[in-house]
Amino acid sequence: MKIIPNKRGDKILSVYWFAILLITAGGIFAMVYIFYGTPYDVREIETRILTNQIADCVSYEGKISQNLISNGIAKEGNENFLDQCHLNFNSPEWKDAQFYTEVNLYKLENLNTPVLDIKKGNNNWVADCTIQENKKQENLPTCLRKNFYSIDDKNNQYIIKILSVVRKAEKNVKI
Amino acid sequence: MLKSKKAQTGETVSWIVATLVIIGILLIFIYVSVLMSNTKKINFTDTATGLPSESAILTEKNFIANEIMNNKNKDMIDGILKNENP
Repeated sequence: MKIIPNKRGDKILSVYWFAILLITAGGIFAMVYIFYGTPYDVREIETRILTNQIADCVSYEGKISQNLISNGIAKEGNENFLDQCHLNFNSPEWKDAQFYTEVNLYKLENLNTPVLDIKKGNNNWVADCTIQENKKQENLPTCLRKNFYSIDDKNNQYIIKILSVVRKAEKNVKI
Repeated sequence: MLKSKKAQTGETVSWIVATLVIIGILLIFIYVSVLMSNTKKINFTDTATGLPSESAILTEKNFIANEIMNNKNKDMIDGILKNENP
């Protein structure tokens, strides 16, 4: 008498292996998608470059530019001073400007009222910096506040505060 | 005829445990890839000082201005800047 072997177990095992294969492939796909789907966030370094550029433009070799303060007096019509700093905030990739920068010069004797307040860029992003101070949100613009000390041609002392803001969230954060 | 099914049960339990281990390892790897994706932030530091690039430049500017002024109130200025640049 010929005995026919029961092959039901083998079939179940094949289905099981196939399911494990799919789960493993799905897991590997998820890992690659998560890692490579997240863009590199370069906004922090952009704010640092912007701050450096502005700091060099405002003060060079320890002295404030004479286009800003001359003979100890703030020059008239320097609202557009940052246009001299070779900054181009307009990019064809974006409808709105994605950058904002603000420079405040304070005399050492009075750190509450700035003697000069210069702005450039899209000021819609400034409000988001206040939110970022409490808790950092990736989707909001990256802000960097830095200060340094400088003197004018009459050796008056100043604290210069620079705020640099870069938005470009869509290209730097997975939304 | 009575058949002992202990061996069969043991094998089934082994397969279930093996499946759970595979899924567990996959979940751990996925979690690690999430953590790694959060580190995709590019930032440069000054090689000489180890400080962020802008800090090194601003520190240099402060130093030069202080040198020009031969500053007596350097500590006060450093205090102000330290408070403002945490």
